[in-house]
Amino acid sequence: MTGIIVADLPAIVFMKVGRHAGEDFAEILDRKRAEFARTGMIFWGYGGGTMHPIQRVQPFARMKIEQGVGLTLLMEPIDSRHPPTEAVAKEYSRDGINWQTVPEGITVRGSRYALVLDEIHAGDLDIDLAQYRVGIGPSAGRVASEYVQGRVDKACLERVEGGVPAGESKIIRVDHSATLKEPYAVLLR
Amino acid sequence: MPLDLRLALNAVSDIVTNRPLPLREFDQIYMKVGDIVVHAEFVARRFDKRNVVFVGDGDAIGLAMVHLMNEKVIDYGPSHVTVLDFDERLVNSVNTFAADYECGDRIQARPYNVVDALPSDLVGAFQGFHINPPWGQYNNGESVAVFVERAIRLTAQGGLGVVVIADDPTLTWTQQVLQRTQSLGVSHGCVIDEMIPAYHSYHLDDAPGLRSCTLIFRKIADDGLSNDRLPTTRLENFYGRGNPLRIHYVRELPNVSRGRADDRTYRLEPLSEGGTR
Repeated sequence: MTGIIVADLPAIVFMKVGRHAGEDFAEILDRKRAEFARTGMIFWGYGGGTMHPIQRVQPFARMKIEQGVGLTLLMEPIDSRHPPTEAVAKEYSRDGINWQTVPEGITVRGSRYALVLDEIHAGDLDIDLAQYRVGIGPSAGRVASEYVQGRVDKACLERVEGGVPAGESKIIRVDHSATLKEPYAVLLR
Repeated sequence: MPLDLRLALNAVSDIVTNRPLPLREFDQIYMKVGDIVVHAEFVARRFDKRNVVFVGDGDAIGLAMVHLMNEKVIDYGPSHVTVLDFDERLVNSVNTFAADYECGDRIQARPYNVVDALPSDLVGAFQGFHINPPWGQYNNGESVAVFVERAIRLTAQGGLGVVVIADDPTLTWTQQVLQRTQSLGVSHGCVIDEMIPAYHSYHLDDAPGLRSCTLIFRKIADDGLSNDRLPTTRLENFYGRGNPLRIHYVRELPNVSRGRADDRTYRLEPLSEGGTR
């Protein structure tokens, strides 16, 4: 991720990442990189109720693209204890109406949604969540450093101009990133 | 008659178990049991002895009221409830439940989408309405306005109308939509009879503190509303930014396993020979 600095990221998808569905984060990364080599894209599985593909990620991404801004996934590594599962997605949909077979060579385990990514880059980066606001949904405008806590471990965020008041910074170390690519996020089944 | 909390929670548990799983794509986000008990009991008092209509009822408040009355948990409530909803799973779940519990004379559900003109036999036929529409954050409250207009058109003069929408003084959009909704009701023959600010919560993952109010209109004059199919210009961002109303009906796929666990989600592993030794 050499060369990427905070000032270049006006819009991000922030996500805490770790062990999932019986795989360590490093194993998932290796598998996803192999999938990218085979298919030219990555389905990064996720769940929860804060980043619905149709309600949140897609419209946020389209809005940012229209503004001439790219959208980057930033991953913060954490210890997590997600239980193993054999469930693998067979189909995906960008609209909930039309479903297609998950491309051969891509495997998403134990997730009902997936971000669609370009290549994943490694490299440390510090971001200040106090510089970002929630970009879409009923909490739009909330300060990210207050919003991302507890059960909320992912969010569509936009950077706001102006400095952060003293004592309110919340610096997060991110170690992997990727650009979202169209259709940005999909439903899985 | 004081509310017996155990009986009320047990009755509403029947309702919650009966609800189809929500489709987040259409803003179907269900109230939790405690909120349903409180809201259904409150609305039942306001709708006592009235023939009322619910335009959309994913929360199953209408069925909850009827069931609470049927189980004799409350001795007040509407004389009849009509539920109109575009989700056939919900329509069928209400009618099947009503048949099972022998309260079909008090509640009936039928398919309807607000994009369509109202069935002529229902216009002005009710003494009360209840709506809990998509909250209109990204369409200046237009999705709320559409539901309010349809619901007022369904209601006769003297009728009461309950509107559940977002209400958080710290979120500007909720106050703008609330102001527009109140103005709209007044401009279509209603007065504001009552309002309970920040009355309940949907416990949203991405807005855990967001509250909704109960706004009650009383219709005192002609509404002056037409009854036409909606133009597409009113459907933009209906379910949120970039999500217009484009689905006419959610149709239920025929199945015979109603009320049973979906057998695609488990398998039975028989006890092996000698397993009891």
